[in-house]
Amino acid sequence: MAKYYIGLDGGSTYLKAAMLHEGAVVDTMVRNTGIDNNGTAKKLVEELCRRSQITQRDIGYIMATGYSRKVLEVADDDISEITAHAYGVRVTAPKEYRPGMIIDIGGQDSKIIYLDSNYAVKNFSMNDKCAAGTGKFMEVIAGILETTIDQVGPLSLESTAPCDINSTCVVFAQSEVISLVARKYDRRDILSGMHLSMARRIIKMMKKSEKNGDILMTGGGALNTGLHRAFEEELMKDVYVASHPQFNGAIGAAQIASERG
Amino acid sequence: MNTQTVSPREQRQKDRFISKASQTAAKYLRRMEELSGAPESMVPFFRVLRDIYVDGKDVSREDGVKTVGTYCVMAPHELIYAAGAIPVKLCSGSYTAFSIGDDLAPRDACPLVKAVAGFQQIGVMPLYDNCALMVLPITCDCKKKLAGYLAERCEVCTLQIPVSKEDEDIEQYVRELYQFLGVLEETTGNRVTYDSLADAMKKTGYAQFELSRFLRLKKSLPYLLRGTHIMAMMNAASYMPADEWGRQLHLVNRELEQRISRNETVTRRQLPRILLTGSPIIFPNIKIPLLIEEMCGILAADETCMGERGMSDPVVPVDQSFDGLMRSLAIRATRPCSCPTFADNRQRIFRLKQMIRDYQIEGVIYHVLRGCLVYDFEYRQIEEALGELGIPVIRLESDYNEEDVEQLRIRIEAFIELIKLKKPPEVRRTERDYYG
Amino acid sequence: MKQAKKIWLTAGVCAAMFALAWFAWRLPFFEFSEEYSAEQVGSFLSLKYLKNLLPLILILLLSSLGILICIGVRKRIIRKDPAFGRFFEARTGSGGKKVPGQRKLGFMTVRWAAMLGASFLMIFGGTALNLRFAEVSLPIFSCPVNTEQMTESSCYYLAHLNDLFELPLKDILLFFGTTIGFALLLGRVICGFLCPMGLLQDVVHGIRQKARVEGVAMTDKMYAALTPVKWMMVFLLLGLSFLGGNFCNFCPLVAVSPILAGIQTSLYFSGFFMIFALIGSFFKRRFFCLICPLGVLLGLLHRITPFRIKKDCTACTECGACYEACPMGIKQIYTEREKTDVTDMNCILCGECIRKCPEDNALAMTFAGKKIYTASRKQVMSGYHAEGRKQDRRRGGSV
Repeated sequence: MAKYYIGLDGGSTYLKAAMLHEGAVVDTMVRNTGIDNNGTAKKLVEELCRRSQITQRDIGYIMATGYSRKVLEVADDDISEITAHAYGVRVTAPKEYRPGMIIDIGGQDSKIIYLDSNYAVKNFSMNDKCAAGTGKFMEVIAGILETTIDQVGPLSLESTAPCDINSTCVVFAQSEVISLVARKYDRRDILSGMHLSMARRIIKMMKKSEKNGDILMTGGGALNTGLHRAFEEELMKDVYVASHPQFNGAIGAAQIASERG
Repeated sequence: MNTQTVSPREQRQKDRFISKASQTAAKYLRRMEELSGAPESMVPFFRVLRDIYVDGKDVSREDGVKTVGTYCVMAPHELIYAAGAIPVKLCSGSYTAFSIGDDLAPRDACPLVKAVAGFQQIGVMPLYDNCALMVLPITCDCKKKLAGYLAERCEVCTLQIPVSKEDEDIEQYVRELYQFLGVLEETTGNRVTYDSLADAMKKTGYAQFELSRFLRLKKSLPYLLRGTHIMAMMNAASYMPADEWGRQLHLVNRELEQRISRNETVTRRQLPRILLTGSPIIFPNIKIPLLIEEMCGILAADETCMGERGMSDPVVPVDQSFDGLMRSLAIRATRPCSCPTFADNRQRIFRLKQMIRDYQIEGVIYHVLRGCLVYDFEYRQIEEALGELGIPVIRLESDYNEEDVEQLRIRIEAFIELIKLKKPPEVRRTERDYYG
Repeated sequence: MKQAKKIWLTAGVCAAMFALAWFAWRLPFFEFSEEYSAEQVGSFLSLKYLKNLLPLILILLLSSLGILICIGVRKRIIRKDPAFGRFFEARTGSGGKKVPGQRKLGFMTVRWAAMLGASFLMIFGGTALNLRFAEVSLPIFSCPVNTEQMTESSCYYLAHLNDLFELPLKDILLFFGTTIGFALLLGRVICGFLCPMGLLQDVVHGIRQKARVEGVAMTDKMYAALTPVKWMMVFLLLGLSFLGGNFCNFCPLVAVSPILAGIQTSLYFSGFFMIFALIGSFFKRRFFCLICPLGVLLGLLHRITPFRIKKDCTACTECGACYEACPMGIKQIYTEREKTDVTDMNCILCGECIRKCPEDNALAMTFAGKKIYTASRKQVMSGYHAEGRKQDRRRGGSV
């Protein structure tokens, strides 16, 4: 009987898990990281087994990735999130995607990974110690505009005249947004402007020498349709979205686990 | 040297500083010594770093010989030796001094300058306090303002670095060096003659000769040495007379020759070979080289001004007259120098390409000290050039503190993993080869 | 405004040169009272030989005097300069110590041997060794007034093209055949390895190096200013005969080969020019080569000659040592970043750039694609090897 493989992605805010069976994603799960990384991970693994009605023996290999990967003792091995993401897109990318670039927008960081045609990592760039251009940034702005993170995308799509937001820092952007609100700007326009500004900031990170292939969005940020549109507008080309964007790292880890196991 | 009384509170602050600074330095020295594979003969270099940073000693020298502090590679040490003084490179990597300097300079100023200003402010390092003169080539805005700051506290001589390297600029720099030599004569009270200059050039030339031998040996066998140890060795050159340094290096070379004959390397594994370039790496701020090698990478070469690049270009006197020697020094300080202070610095790309060829580099880490604008500026250009070669490159921004170590670790680890997985399967060994 | 001034200055210099060349025969430097005789002196120790040598001795004396005057003038200038004045003594006095240089034996030994040998053959080949190939014309400035030199020099007929075309066709073909043949085969290697004037200039330069007297460091602008002068020389060489003048009265080389060979030679403007060239090449190595018309003609073929200077642009650090060492002031050699072939029309293939190049394989001289001389750091720093060995002995003794 084919084994099950689990990938754990210990991010800054959430711990994500994905289970692979015969090359397909069976189940995914997410939990708040909490204080006890390892305990949460253990619970996640148990939960996954219970949901798929398998025992721990059916699990072939567990691979950890993300910030807290070194402390996850349940895992058999760990791998850096860059590699995990590159493996993840082999499963999650749409069929027509020609490997080129992955834009990953996570909770507290964003990164760009460059792939060659065999999905091997060629190069990568990461944002600096700053939350601009990350999920946290979106959350803060959504809070000010009295909406939820899920609504941010659809709302911004309704905008007709996006505002101009220049700040690249969460704290300053916050005050900029507040002043826009005070000046009675429509929140849909503000959100749209915010997405464009985020996209611009991430595009700045891109390496000029890497132009081949298509662009794929992963991470929680990819669920935001407004941000997705903003990227397409700024890059002036199609941007694909991974099938389980926020689980891409975990799926990648599971994929590596299946190769190891 | 302070004649005015120091209040107990002030004294306590100084004591705190000294103990903190020496602890940090001792920690990094220990981490460095824990890395395997340092040749026995390199120990004297580590001892020099220990003397200066842990024990707070001054450069060892005969009585009455003055020290002249220099910054950047454009101030020819030959002139200082010719005037009968000993040059000391004062560019600093101290986290403790940085935290003091942080209050003296604007937030975005580079940490190197802040650390120097911090040392000057606290006044507990004999290395800084005993300097008879400080020479500051004006290579960037921070250095310029640092010159102004230091001038209030000690003797300072600035060197104007030309923006480009045209023939007229060289003539101008020769003139600048003559003026500098005049200041040196006044500081030391010695006359510079043809013989003293020739002797000085022989001293530094010998050190460069041994360095050229060292580099040749290093090129001949991959994994012969660890880059962190080499960086420490190059850093030690700042606090040793050139001829003494050369003599110690001679012993290292002898040991390396034996190693090569036994085909002995620091590792039997095919570790990813990494080149470090960008802003200077100065002891005790060697966290990046340490991280690279602790993460199972090999720092195969560095293109930084406190490392190989600062010393390796030899002085080539063409004309044997006094003026000819001065010209050769001025030319050596400017033309081969791939410091981003020069407007057109494409030669740095070629230098990197050559190093990639020489040392079979698989990845380049571009180090930017926070606020080091000139290096940051060149990142794009170099990234593009290396992209064409298919060499991965990442930019690492760091500051003089230990808060960003985790951030750096994540990046370096992922980078090393990337290189390992990039190797084609037939070259790629099993995991055991990497982690053994 | 500045541009116009430059143009006028250049035009003035060229016009003055033209006038000097035209009236060269009216400016006698040293005239023998007797009629010209090509008769060979029997012995190099005879009184007659010494008498015939007189103009050359005079030239050397006057050049030395000129050099001393120039040094004196410069001393004054240096002393008054705010930055340099302080080092007046250090700059003008010469010390006993030495910066370790490079190993003596090597490519340059070959070059010096070639220059000495070739000059000897060109001057005394006929008399001393009875080697004479009159049908062969070598494109070299070694005065054919000396009928005893080993081969014919092309310079005479190049300077008297109107006479050349009166010769029988066979001679014309021989002349062009051998001249162009040598030019194609050797190119400006002739300048660097064979030319007696080159030897003379290198000797004078060597004397300056030994005396530690500083030279004149030329910038690219100064080199550029000499270009029109150079082309004016070409024009004078090829065209003066058609205008009724005689380049030989203007040519400084008349003062070397024939006089040394013991031929009684009256000198006209040539003598003055020779003094000028000697003073010039004392302070600036191979000064005359910068304006040598024959060199320009040889250089025209630089694209197809088999001797080439090759560059590895990646290995180069743009340290400029080659440019500093280059007697011809060829700047491209260090600024070039794309081409692998940096042979320039001004290049005399002397190899100084390669000798001074500290980067392994960055520069190389090739003959028909084969490397014959390659740059290396080891070679540049070879003067320090002795120091290294001293260390070994000392440590060895103590252990």
